[in-house]
Amino acid sequence: MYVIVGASSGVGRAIAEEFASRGHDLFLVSRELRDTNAVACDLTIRFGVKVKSLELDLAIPYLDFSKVLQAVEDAGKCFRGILFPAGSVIEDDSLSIEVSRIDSVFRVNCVSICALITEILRRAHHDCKLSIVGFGSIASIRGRGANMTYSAAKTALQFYFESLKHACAGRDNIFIQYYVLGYMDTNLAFAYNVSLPKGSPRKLAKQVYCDIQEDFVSRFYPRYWVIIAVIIKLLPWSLYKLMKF
Amino acid sequence: MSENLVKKSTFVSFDGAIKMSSYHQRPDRYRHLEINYGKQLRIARGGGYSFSAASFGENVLVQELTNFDRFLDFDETLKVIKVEAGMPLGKMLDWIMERGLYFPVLPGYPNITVGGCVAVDAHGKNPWKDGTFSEWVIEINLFHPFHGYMSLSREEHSDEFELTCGGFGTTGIIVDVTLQLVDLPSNALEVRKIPVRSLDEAMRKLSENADDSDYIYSWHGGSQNLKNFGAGVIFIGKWLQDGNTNVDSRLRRKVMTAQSRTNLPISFWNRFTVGFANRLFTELCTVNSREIMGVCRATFPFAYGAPYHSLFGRRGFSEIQVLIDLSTADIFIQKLCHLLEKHNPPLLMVSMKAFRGEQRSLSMAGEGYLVALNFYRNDKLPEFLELVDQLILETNAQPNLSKDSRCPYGVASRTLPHYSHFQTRLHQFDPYRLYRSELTERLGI
Repeated sequence: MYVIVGASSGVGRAIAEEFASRGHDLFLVSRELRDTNAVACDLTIRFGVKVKSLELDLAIPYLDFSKVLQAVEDAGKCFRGILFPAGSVIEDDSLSIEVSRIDSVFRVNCVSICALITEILRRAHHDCKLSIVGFGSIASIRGRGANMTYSAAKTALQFYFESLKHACAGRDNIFIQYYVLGYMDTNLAFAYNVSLPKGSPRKLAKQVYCDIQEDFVSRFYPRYWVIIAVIIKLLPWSLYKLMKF
Repeated sequence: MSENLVKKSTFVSFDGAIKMSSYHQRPDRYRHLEINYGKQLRIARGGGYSFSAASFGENVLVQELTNFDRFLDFDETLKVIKVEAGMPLGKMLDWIMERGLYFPVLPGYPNITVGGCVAVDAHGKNPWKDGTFSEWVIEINLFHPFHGYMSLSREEHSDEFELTCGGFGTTGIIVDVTLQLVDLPSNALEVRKIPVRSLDEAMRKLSENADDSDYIYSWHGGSQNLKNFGAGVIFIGKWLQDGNTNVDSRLRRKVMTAQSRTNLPISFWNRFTVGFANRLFTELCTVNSREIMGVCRATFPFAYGAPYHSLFGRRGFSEIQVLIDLSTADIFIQKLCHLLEKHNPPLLMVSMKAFRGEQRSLSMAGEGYLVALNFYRNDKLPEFLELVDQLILETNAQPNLSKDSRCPYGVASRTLPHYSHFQTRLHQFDPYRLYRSELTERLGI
């Protein structure tokens, strides 16, 4: 059984579909039960797996994770991992952002995820293989004037995953993975006419499934973003500050 | 448009005649359907396979439902399935066939969606026997900003149910649909190809065989040699009786879209190629007069055969499909032949089916023959189509609005039996007329 947090649409839905098609039971978490229930019905009908869904808004402070933890406990040794294709961007995430929203952006994109991972690791069976997969964004390659809070939260999450990998370095049964996502063909990028090709959520989901027990720190998807990331990081500040993106 | 889920996109009708830039949203959550866009005009879009511009329009927000493609419920005992409106027919067919089930009314492309079929009240390979799509619809879940979610069926909100089936998306967004399935008799059909010498003979044969065929239509080459005009082939298919046979019944997934159909910059069709292709096709049918076809190939011929529609190139094609009454069929065919002889239009082929439908919306209704005329475009064609419009009015034939992207208001309003009633009821249901497209604007709906 896998837990997927943020499974109602886009990358999360594609991952849920891929894992269900391979015969895995799922526990789907998202903030809108209507959508998650529809995904759960679809996967149960098509693949005959057990899919449960739970409404949980990661933006809420001090979340009660008891239902997720109960599902993990019920699954026992069948619990194989947890994936976090969750995230949220907001409009006007720049200097004009409402101060009260900074907190919720950090919670959805980082804080709640870190809290749930901590709780899961406390309860997971030590002798079972367990995968913890995070999803970040190319927005965190380098700070810029747009999506300021979002990219800061995703950068923090990426840092946390690296720390997590370091903390679990001696445990061969735990696989910590982090994907840095470029433009994906989901609603997040739908309205933007970007010049670079958008990644397919379905292809990403296949890759995530195939590599679920691989050992790597972080990986870009689509892969060509590695080159772009290197170039952006190497740009001197005097040039970088002039870029409009 | 303040919502950042919306962009500007260019849409083209499947026949290539109408191209427009419009607002475009691709909802993937229920709340996206419910976003308050005020009185912004909008229309739902499925696969975009309507030959006419039924799913986009000038300054209309297009709500593309391709992410709403989930199975929501399935009752194996009652053979009932509930799917979201963006469910492609091919995806549904693939899944139900694995369970020994089938859906009898399926148009020619597998990526046409269930919601689209409800909206145009599509027909399949034998509408005389199976009726139209809406006859197999048990329930529709409709969303309209001023009415919220409404469950429509023949028992509950029956008036809105009638308006929605064949209403071209004017009543709101079809969110999900519950369909009645039937047992799948086998994985293949036996298709016989019977030569006919004229359209009259084809009509007689269609009448004789429509009751007990599972698949029946005629094809006639658009030969410019009028001596032979009407010569063609009737395809009569029946489910293979002796169980499953060893044919490929898998679905081919990569099929063209309205956009990719226009990839060829010029049309392949001209007087010479039409004549040659028609002769070749007739020969092939004669040589191979009995064929065992896998279900998917028989159901979605356009996904399997030659890339027929893409050969029309960027300029596109024009199709006129009309329902002619049994009593006026002879006169219609006679006058049509006369027009063709006199004006020599760029006709590629004619196809006929026996038809029976009971709609009370913008769809064709009644009993008769469906006659489809496929043209490649040239400069004289619009003038000729106006003469066909006159013929439609004279013989009281009914146009299929989803096939003809230029059908004028005067023809639709005077020939479709429920046009006025539909218009009145629709305005009562939605006085603001939020859901519009190029088609509804052209037809004064």
